[in-house]
Amino acid sequence: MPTETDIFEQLRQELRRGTLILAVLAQLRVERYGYSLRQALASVGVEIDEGALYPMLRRLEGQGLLSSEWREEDKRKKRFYRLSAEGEAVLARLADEWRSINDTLQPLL
Amino acid sequence: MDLLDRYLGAVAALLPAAQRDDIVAELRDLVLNRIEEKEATLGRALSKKETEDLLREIGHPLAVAGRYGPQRSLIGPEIYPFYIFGLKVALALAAFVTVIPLLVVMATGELDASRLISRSINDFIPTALILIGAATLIAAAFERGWIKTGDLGKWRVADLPVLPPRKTMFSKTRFEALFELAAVVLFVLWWTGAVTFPIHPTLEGGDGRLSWTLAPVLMSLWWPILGLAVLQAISSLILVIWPGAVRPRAAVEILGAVSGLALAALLWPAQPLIVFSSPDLAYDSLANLQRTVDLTFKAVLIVAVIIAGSKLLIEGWRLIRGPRVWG
Repeated sequence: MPTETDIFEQLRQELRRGTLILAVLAQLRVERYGYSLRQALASVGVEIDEGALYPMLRRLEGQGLLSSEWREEDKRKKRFYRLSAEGEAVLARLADEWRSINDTLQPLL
Repeated sequence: MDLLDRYLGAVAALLPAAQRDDIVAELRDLVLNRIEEKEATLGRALSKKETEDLLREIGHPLAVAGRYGPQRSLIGPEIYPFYIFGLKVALALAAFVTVIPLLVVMATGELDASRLISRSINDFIPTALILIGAATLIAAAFERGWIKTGDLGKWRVADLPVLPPRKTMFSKTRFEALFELAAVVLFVLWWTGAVTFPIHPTLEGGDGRLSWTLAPVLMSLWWPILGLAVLQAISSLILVIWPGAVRPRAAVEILGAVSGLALAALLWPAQPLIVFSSPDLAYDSLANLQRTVDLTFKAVLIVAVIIAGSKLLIEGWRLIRGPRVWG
């Protein structure tokens, strides 16, 4: 039998799942590699597990929302990601959707 | 970096070849960044154990490689309810195809009860597992789009079967009627001696250690008992093949209920209906067996009278009311 904490944790994960993509896309208006992106997200209070972040970046790139290139930095090859033109458009629409949801839900909460 | 190479090698082996080098290079950068971050915090190089702990924290190679796969679940939430329904049907089918041949074997008296149980389990498990496996493969194929749902996704509410608002205590489904028909047919085959069961409906019997004698009234009522069973079979058959024939079925049920009450009235004073004797069993054991069987027969007769009485009322009402139209 799941406890109240277990149920809350499961619901919290579900709630966060969609918002993480929004946060990742927003942070990639500036070019970043995976590790620096994770640090940037953590600095604004968005914690994300690497195990989820890296596959997400590949999926978003596969969908054409991100572009990437390998470059050397600090004597190591790193893969840099950045929002594509299509990603910019999708992010703008998602941001509008987010604000709309927020406006709708706010009076209810 | 031996540990890191071993870890990445294990992940690489599980990745699709086309993306392997790309993903591994990125993972290597991630791990090295994590190591550098930790070393900066500690102010020294990581020990072998600390590196191992960090890699364990990142995840088992199977889990890490699995996250890069295109499909994360074998059967997703959209397909899952259909899959569960398919499993129930598969299990019912497995039970059906196991039980029917066994009933035939039992009817021909080739197996005793204990072997029958072990054989039914032995037959059911592999059949059920094969059907469950097939259902899982089909559901996974739907999930991946290998099988197109086509018209299955275009269902219409109007195509759903019309059901009564709720099943009442006195109503019977066609499936229940089919089951009842099979049971009554088996009883008739046994009663007429057409098939041989471990216990036969003869006046006297036993295996030498335990003998029984049926009350003469049971054999003198051989034909009425057979007739009652045939009436019940006819009633079940009507429901199976012609569910709308409420009045004909009610008439048969009333006839059966009256016959049942008459039979009960004849059998009640003739108790005990079966008498046991044994040269080997102790008097107490034999008396206990006799008492248990007598009580069972009494209870069966009382219940039969209650059921027959209820049927007279309910079926009489149905005979007057006729068929009821749902929906």
